[in-house]
Formats: sequence, C-alpha cells, structure tokens
Amino acid sequence: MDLLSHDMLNNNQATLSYLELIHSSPGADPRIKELAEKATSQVRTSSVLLDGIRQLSSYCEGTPAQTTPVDLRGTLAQVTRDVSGLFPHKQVTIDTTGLAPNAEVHGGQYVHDIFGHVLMNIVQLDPEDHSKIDVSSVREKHNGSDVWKIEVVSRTATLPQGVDDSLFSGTVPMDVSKMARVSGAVFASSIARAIGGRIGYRVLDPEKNRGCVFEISLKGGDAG
Amino acid sequence: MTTVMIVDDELFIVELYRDILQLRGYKVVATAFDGEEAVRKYAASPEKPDVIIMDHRMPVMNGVEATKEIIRSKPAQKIIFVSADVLIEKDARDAGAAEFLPKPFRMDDLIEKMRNVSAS
Repeated sequence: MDLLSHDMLNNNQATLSYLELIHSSPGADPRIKELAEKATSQVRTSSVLLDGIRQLSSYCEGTPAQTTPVDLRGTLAQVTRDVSGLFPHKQVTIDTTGLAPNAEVHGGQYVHDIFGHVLMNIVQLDPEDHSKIDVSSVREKHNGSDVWKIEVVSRTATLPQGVDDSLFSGTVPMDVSKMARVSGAVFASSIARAIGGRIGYRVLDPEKNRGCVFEISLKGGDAG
Repeated sequence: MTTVMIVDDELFIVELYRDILQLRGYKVVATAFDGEEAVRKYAASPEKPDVIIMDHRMPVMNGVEATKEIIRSKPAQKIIFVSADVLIEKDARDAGAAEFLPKPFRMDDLIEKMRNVSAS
C-alpha cells in the first residue's frame, strides 16, 4: 500500500504541476483557468487522502505511533491554514475560541493528521460556499487519566444517510460500502485509535438530518 | 544560466521538472534514475551542476545515501531534496541537503527553493 500510494502521489504531483502550468499561461482562457483551479483542488484533496493511506499502512506494518505532546490550539491553527488552502473556491472559517488555551494532547504529527482529515471531510460535505466550523474542548477523566474531548461542529455539512457512530468507533467490523464520501473521517478515526483515542459522531439536528458533530477524544499531554 | 541535475526514478517526474525548469529559464544538464547513477554521473562530469534536485525513494541507492556521497566529494554542492515522506527531512538535511521540498508541492515553491539555493 505504501509503495502504491507513493507512486500515485507522484502521478498527482505531475498532474498538479501541469495544471499549474495551464493556470499560469498568459494566453489561457479565463474559463479554462477557473476549471484548472477546480481540478487542482480535487487533485490536492486526493493527495491528502493518499497520504492517509500511507499513514494507515505504516500502522498496519507496526510502526510505533508518535506520542509527543502537542499544543492543540497551535495544531488547529496550522490545520486551518492547510485545509483552507485545499479549497481555494470556498471560504473556510474554523472558530477555535471554544478551545481551552492550555490543551495539550499526545500524538505528535498524528494529531495534525486527525484534525486535517476530519475538517477536510466536513468542508467537502458542506453545500455552502462558506464553511463555518466550531471547535471546542473539555477536559475529562477516563480511568484516572486526563482526556481532552474536542467537539468539531458544522451546522450545514451533513454526512450521507446510513452513516453512524459505528463507522468511526471501531467497535464493529468496518462496512466499506458506507465509506464513500466519508473516507477522510474514517482515516482519522483509525489514526485516533492508533494513538489510544477515539472519534464519535452524531447528527447535529436529527429531525432535519442536518449538520454533524465529531467528538475527538485524545489522551492529555501529561497522561504519560 | 543556473544549471540543474535531476535525480528521480520516475521518467515522467524527470520530464515534469525539465518542463517547469526550462520554462523558468533554468538549464537541465544531467538526469539520473537512481542514487548510484547520480553519484557516478556527478563524479564523471567535469562541470558540476549548480543545483541537484534529489528524490529519496529510488532503487539501488536512495536519495539520502546519494546526497551523502555527493556532499562528501563537494561539500558546497547545492541539493534540493524532494519527498512525499516528511519524516525523511531530518536525514536529508543531516546528509547535506540545502533545502527540503515536501510533495505535493506547488511550482512556485520549487522555483523559490531554486532561487534560495542559487543565491546562497
């Protein structure tokens, strides 16, 4: 898987660069430039997903998970920049004022990857041109250890019908047929489990089947 | 004109670099498809390229090993290391790479790295 995804990333790199050449051609039709920009956005998203495959394959091969503590607020700021850059034709606002200022979680680079995949998936599923996402955190005790529960909420992005918490919790065998359009969040949940965390999911407004809430639980930075 | 050697095991990636660099006024003077070929061609060339663009994951000899060999023979050689594996950055810089460019990259990122190493 690692080799295959590596080769596919190379293909994406070439596609991206040639699209950029089209986009930067002085004589190119503005409509062609616009289409090239949309194609670029899709290829970049595909590259992020491929990177997720590489990460998953490294877990399958038994690569030890990173456990370095990271600052949640700083990580979210970086993820916000990265995700916004993937969707140049959309406005992405991620409000992190509900995040505790001192929140630290275990997981090193994987924490960035978890939030990157979840937020990217939410923006993809948001029909609005302006994606607004709220992120907040609470500290809890689980079996005597500190755990940060981070809630990621969108009022407009809605996951496909039939998708429920079991797809992300890892408590039942994964139903691959349900993964279409939510593979980013499923990747994120696999990464979270690899570092001792979990991702829960619920529909924000079940009556209207609208909006989504991801609860990402990660070990606190001083949890050892 | 700044001269460049491209080292990558994928022919289409070599062609991609060539297309981008030539459009931006750089001259590609050599290519190699694995680290061993790169070291051999580099040693044999009387005029060294100003910049080498180096992939990591290649058959026979990887990019980090090739970088070490080249830097050993010419410590001032400018090498831009390019890889999708960000965890290899430290090894690449320890081996002597002047710049690290993670894949996927934007064309302007590559040109900026080229300017940085050319100016230093």
